[in-house]
Amino acid sequence: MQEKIKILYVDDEFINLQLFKIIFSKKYEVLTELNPIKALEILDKELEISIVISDMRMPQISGIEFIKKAKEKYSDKKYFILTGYEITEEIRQALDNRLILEHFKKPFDINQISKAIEAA
Amino acid sequence: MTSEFTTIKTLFENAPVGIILTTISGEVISMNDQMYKMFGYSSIDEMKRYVKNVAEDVYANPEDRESLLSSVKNNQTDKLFFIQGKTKDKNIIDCEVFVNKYTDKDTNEEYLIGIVEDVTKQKKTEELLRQSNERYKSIITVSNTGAWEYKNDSDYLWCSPEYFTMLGYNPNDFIKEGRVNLKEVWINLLHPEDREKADNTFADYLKKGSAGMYENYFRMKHINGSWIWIWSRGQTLRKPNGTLTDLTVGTHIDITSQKEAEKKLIDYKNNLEIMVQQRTNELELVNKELGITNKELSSKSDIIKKQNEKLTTTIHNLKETQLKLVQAEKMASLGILTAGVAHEINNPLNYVMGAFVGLNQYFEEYESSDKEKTDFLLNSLKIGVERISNIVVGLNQFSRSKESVDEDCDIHTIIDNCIRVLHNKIKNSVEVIKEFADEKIVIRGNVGKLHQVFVNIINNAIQAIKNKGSIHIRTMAAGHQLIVEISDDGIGISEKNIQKITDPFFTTKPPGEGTGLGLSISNIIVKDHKGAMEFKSEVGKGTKVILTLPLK
Repeated sequence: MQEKIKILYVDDEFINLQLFKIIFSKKYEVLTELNPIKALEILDKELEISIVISDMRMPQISGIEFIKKAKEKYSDKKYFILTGYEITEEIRQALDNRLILEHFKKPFDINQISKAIEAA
Repeated sequence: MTSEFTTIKTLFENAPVGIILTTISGEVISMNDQMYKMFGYSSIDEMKRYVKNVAEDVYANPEDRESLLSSVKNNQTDKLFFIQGKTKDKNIIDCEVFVNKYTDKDTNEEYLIGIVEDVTKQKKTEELLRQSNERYKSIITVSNTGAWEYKNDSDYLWCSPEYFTMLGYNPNDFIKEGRVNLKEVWINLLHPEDREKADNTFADYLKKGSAGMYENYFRMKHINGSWIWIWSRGQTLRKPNGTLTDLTVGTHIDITSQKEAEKKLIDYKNNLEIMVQQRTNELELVNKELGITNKELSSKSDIIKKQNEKLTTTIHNLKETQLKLVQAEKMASLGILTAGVAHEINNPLNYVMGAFVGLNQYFEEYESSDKEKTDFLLNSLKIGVERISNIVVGLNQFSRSKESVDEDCDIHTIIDNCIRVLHNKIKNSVEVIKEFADEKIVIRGNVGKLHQVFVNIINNAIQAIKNKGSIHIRTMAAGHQLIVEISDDGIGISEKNIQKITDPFFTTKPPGEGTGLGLSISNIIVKDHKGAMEFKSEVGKGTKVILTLPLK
C-alpha cells in the first residue's frame, strides 16, 4: 500500500480542525495547526507534507499571506484555501497566480476536496 | 383901306395877349388894353407916365431885355422868351414874351413889337405840380422804392433813379444812353432763373386785362454781382369811366433782407427738420437696437428657459441617480453585511456538515442499531445544512466581486438549458411554448449568471401556475436590443407587491419554496449586463416579465 498523502490543515477554530481530521484521517495523514505562524514551523519539520489547506481569516496572518510565505520556501507543495467566504479579490488573484490550486467553500464538500487532493 | 385898318385895330385891341410897341432904347410908343391891364395900370396914359423905360420899369430884371435885344439883333425872332415883369404895384408877374423887330418904312426908325402873356397862374400851377412831384419823389427816395412806368402801346419803360440806385447803379448810366427801352435793361438785370417767370408774370397781367394788382417777385443783379430780391407791384391806370389806359405804373421794393430772413427761416426750418429727422433716425436706430437687444434678451430668455428645462431634467436625473445610489448603497451595505453573515454562518455550518460527514462515516463503519432512525436524522442534518448553505450562497450574490460579463451568450441555448434544468418542476399541466426569433441571438455577458436569471424567472412562472396553464417565452432582436418576454397565465402579482418583487427577501411563497432573493439577484445580474427587467401583471390573469439586454 502506498504511503498516505500528508496534509497540513490550518484553521483558527479547533472544531474545524478536529472534524477535518476525523473525516480525512482514514484516507490521508492529516496534520492540523491553529496558528499559521506555527504552521510554517511544522512545514520546516514535516517535509513530506505535500498538501497544505488553510483557512482564510485567522488572527495572526491571513491564509493567503501564510501560503505566500510557505510557497516561498516550498514551492512544490500544493496549496488550497478552505473558507466561509466566497471568492474574494484576494483569492481570485491567488487562483490566477497559481498560488493556490483551488478554493474550497465551507461548509466543505468532502468529494470536492478529495478529488482535488487526488488530482494534486 | 379904312375898314382894313379898323379890322387890324379891332384885332389889336381885343387880342387876349398884351401887345406893346417900344423903341429899341425902351420908350413906350403904344399898347393895347390887355397890356396896361396886365401890369396893373388903368390906362395907356397912366402906364406911359410911369414907364419911362421898359427895361427899367417893366422888366423885373433889366438885363433880361439886353439878352432879348441881342436875340432880335441876330434875327432870332421866333423865340419865346420867359421873363419876369414888374407891375405898377411892384408885383412880379411871369410872362412869356414873343418879340419882333419892326422898321418904319418912312422914317427907317426901328421899333420892337412885343407880345406878352401873363403866365403867373400857370407858373404857380406848375410849381405846385413840381412840389407835388418833388414830394412823391422824396417819398419814393426815402422809402427806397424804385418807381416805374410802362407804356403798354410802345413797350416803353420809365424808371425812377431809385430803381437803379437800389441795385448800386448810377441812374445816368442808363439815362445817358437816351430813351433806350429800359424794359430790356430790366430783362437783362433779371436773375437767369427768374427771367422767364418774371417776364411771363408781367405779360400775363397785361394780357389778362390788368385785373387788380400786378405783383411779381424776382432777383435783379446788383452792380457788385450779388442778387437783390425785388418785390414789384403795379397797376394799369384807368380813366374815370373805368376803361384802361396805356399806362401801367408800379414800384420796386428791395426785399432782400426779408428774403434772407425768410431763407434763414426756411433754412432754420429745414435744419430743424433735418435735426428732427436726425433725432428721429437716431431714435429709430436706438429703437431698432433696443428691438435687437430685446430680441437677444428674448432669445437669451429662451436659452435660459431651455437651460432651466435642462436643469429640471438634470435635477430629475440626479434625483433618480440619488435613488439609485441610495439603492446601490443599500445593496453595498447589504453586501458587506451578508458577506460577514455568510462567513459567520458558514463556519458553524462547516461544523454541522463535518459532523454529518463524520457521523455518516461512523455509521457506515459501525452499523446503526436503528439504521432507519439514524439515516433520517443524518439526512435531516444534511438537508438542513444544504438549505442554509443555499441561502448563504444567495446572500453572497450581493457581495460577490465583479465577475466577467464578456462571454458570448447564446440566449436560445441558455433558455433551453434552463427549461431542461426545471424539467422536473414543470408539471404535466404546464405547457411551455417557445416563440424564439429565427436567427441565433448572441449577447455579451456571463453565461452562468444569465442561466441563474432565466431559471429564476421561469421557476417563478411555474410556481405562479397553480393548476393548468402555459408559459410563453418570446425572443426578438429589436435594434440594438434583445427582448425576452416570459409570460404566464398564473395567479399574477398585486399592484402593491409588484413594487417590491426585486427587494431582497421579499417573497409571497410558502417557507422553503423561496428565499426572496431570486428576483433581487436576477435584477442585479441584469443590471450588470446593462439590461433592464420590467414586470407587467394582473391578479388572476398572469404575469409578463420583459427582459431587455443589449445585443453584442
